[in-house]
Amino acid sequence: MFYLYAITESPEPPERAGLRAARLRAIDEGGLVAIVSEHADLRLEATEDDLWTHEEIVEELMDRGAVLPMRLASTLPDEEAVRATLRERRHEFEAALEHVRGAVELGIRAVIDTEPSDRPVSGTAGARGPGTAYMLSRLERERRGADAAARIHEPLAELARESIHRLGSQPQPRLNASYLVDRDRLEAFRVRVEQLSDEVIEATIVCTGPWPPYSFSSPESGR
Amino acid sequence: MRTRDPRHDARHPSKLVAGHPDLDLFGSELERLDAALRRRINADRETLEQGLAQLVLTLVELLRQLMERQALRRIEGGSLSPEEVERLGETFMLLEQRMEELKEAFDLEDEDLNMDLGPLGQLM
Amino acid sequence: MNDEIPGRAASERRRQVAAARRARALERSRARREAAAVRRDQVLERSRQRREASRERQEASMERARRERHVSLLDLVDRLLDGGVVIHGDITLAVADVDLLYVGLRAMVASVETIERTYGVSLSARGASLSSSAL
Repeated sequence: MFYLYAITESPEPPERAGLRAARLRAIDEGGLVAIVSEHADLRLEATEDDLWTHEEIVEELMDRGAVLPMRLASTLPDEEAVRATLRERRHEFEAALEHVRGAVELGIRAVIDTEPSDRPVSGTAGARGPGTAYMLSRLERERRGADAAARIHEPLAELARESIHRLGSQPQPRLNASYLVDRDRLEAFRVRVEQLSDEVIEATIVCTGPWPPYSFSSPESGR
Repeated sequence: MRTRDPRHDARHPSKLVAGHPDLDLFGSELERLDAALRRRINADRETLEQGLAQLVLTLVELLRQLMERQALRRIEGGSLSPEEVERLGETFMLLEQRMEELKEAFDLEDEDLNMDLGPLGQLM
Repeated sequence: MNDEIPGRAASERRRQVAAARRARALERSRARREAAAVRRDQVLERSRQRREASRERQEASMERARRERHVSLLDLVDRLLDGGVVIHGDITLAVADVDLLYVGLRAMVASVETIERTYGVSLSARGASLSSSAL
């Protein structure tokens, strides 16, 4: 069984061990290279160690050039299956590599406090009844959340090649977004995040990265 | 979050680029992650009853949120009369209260109802 | 007779003066020792406070580092599980008995469909709606 870490163009595997100390191999099918390790039987435990081992391998490839990270636990039965996959999806993989070349992924998580003490969300006037007040306060809370999220997401999306974002609402409105950012815009992006942390006072923002382009490598990836 | 001594986690890096992670704000997601990675959904829970209650209440909570969200869209769109809005609001308030009572009865916290629902979880 | 023993009165006075001088000297010396003790206590207290503050800073910094690692791990797991190129293999991924959870959820969804039929409520990800009969 072959465990796949990433698809790239570099014909040499990283000089380190893969999962379970297995040797890393590069399977080159006409310029498209799958980085793999071979295992007789692999039970992936999803411990922190396993996850970071996988990630470190992909990040080393990312430092060398364009890389398409595989989803966790991607396996194929043998070398021929790996080659067949590379052949059959060549166009998809080549296009995806072009799309992410020279860029990295940055993640944003923001939690929005929609009820700061100086602006409590209340339904308007008791005359309308408690049920209505409840729904109106929910609406107001939602609106504040979406408003703050937009003020965070939109300027960052402008600095990225591509972005995806999702607004959650429990227990507080929260923004979860990923951005495909050119390497030479990384610092400008980081600075903008710091600025937005100050500007959007009702939000607590966290930015992680740089990640390999997990969310932008395939039509199925991302949230 | 139950974890090893941080001094032994030196090889697990921080990927933080900007911001200050307030643990409380991301607490529920970290709890979920913790449970997932340690192959345990509320190992503290002793009874099958509680496990089932957790599953049921998680789904009920999901439905409640979906319905509430849909109701808000209706209110925004102006397709509900004031009486309907009032009745909806009272119903949701009651639902919320009932959920709190159920959570308390089964000794469940908000974080417990934030289980990994896979694709469904993305709706919350 | 006023000066029966003039030498004795003088030497008595000299003794008194000397005793007073000694008493003052003792007093000064005691005061100096007290002051030194107070200063020592202050130095020890400041040093203790510095150590305490340093330990608190260290703990706060370790806590911050721990949180950063946790959020980093969270973001990594989300990407590894939901992102990346997808191929379909046959590994067993054991993460919190996820298969069991989805089986449980499928059973629940079937119950939800029953609820939908019974109460005339339509619940789906995209088009949740409440029919008026449900109110």
